[in-house]
Amino acid sequence: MRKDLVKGDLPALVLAVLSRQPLHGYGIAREVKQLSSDALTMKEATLYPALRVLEQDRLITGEWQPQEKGADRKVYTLTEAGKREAQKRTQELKDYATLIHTVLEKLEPGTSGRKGIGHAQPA
Amino acid sequence: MHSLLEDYLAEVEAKLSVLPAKRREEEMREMRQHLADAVRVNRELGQNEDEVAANALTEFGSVEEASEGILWSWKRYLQRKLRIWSFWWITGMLTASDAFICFQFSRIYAPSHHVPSYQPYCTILCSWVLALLILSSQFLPAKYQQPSWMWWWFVSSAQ
Repeated sequence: MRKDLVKGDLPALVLAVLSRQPLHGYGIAREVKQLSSDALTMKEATLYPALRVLEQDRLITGEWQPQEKGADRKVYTLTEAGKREAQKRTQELKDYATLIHTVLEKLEPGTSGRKGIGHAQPA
Repeated sequence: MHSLLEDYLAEVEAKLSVLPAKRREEEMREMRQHLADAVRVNRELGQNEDEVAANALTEFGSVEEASEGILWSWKRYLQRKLRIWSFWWITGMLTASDAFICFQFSRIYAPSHHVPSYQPYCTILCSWVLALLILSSQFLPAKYQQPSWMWWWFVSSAQ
């Protein structure tokens, strides 16, 4: 099942991806697709406003770096404040997902198909 | 680069004409690099050049999607700068005018009108409180920035 990524979740996902390693814009978009097994879709152009906002809030810094092959790329790295914010927003998203799951379980017990966050879906 | 991509980038650059030249150039450079990466990956999947360009643009988004987001982030940046600038401008003007009031009051007004010496300081204090209230309203959450809300609060507190 493919799902459009909610616009408001994008900055949190970007922070979570960058907490693993510094990446350029295309790399971030690819990482999100790969981690979701292509289930989460987004227009890649929407990534750049999110990156600008995170730069303005000083949660990430972008730097043009020369590459071994090809033109320079702007690589984004988390700042110290960004690392703290990444943890905070990741936890908020997890808590939100758990709450939704809890509500759905109460409405329709046993049909949500998930035992909790972090558990794989049954085949 | 494929003509489809060049036309796309030219359209986006036209939409971003309101940005300063340096900022626009940087945005276009990054976008160009992103599309070049997308083309390279699609090419590795064995697609022909037209398919490669079309798929890269489909994944990236329309001209409107590309330009509106960047313009929105620029507007947000300007609004923040304006708040900071207005804070320091008002602070500076208030300090200068208060110093002027104190100096002129003690020199000209007080001797001839027999008024208490603390009067200019009360005026200065009230002006600072009002200025801080106005400035702090710039930093409130959006829903509290409605003029009607502020007016209601001002009137009810005056009563």
